[in-house]
Amino acid sequence: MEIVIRIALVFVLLTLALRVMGKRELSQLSPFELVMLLLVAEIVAPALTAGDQSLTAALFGAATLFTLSLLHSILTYNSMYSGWRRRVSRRWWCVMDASSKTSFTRTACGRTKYSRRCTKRASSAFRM
Amino acid sequence: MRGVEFVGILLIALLPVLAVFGVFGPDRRSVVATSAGIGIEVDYPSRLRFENLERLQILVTNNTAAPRDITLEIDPAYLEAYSGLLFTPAPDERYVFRIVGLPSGESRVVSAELSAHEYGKHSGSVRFASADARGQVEIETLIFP
Repeated sequence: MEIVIRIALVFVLLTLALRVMGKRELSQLSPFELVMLLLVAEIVAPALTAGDQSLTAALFGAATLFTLSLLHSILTYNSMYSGWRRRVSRRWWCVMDASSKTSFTRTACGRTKYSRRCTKRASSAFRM
Repeated sequence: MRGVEFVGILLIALLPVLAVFGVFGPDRRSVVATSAGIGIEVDYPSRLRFENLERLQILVTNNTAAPRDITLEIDPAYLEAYSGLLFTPAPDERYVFRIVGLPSGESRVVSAELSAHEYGKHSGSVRFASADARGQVEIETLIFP
């Protein structure tokens, strides 16, 4: 069904766009950004259903959104605890720490840990 | 995750998968009937969703050696499930079309634009009649709410 593909495309596009804009609470949005979000919903809505007003399309659309949201949560959870994400985040923290002249790393579970290797890696990253 | 939650998630995730494979999407079928050299082929929507537009197309062919007058009739009970009916050509009577002097070996097309208005299963027949030929085909459409 076409509606599933439409919703998936819009979901991916909006997720990327909102990530690029930065994560913020609703209260942190400026009036312009709030209006923009409302307008985005208005613009995107007709493209999602392509004029299909049936209950079947609405149910399938909602199920698609729930499934995409669930998939997103599973992927986020897995990447947070996977080796790749740990390595990337550790390196990122090293670079961040080097810029503030401190030498500690943060592990994936949020603990702070001092590390000499981190300082070395951060300084080499800055040299690049 | 509890067992009930897992089953619920599976059910919700199953819906888009089924939709992608077209289980609940619109579908078309074609049925053919012939009698004494007169043939009709009806191409109709077998599945569609509420308020969706579809087309019913009837191809009438004269395979006899002489020109024939053919009368075509669509079951009113079937067409009551639709609104905004638009026929090409226009019917001579209510859902009755008369094709006068259809030459040998030629075909005519009668088409109707349908907008699904009542959900459920709707069936009916398309009948054709000529001087010495008579026949009908059964059509059935499921309209999702």
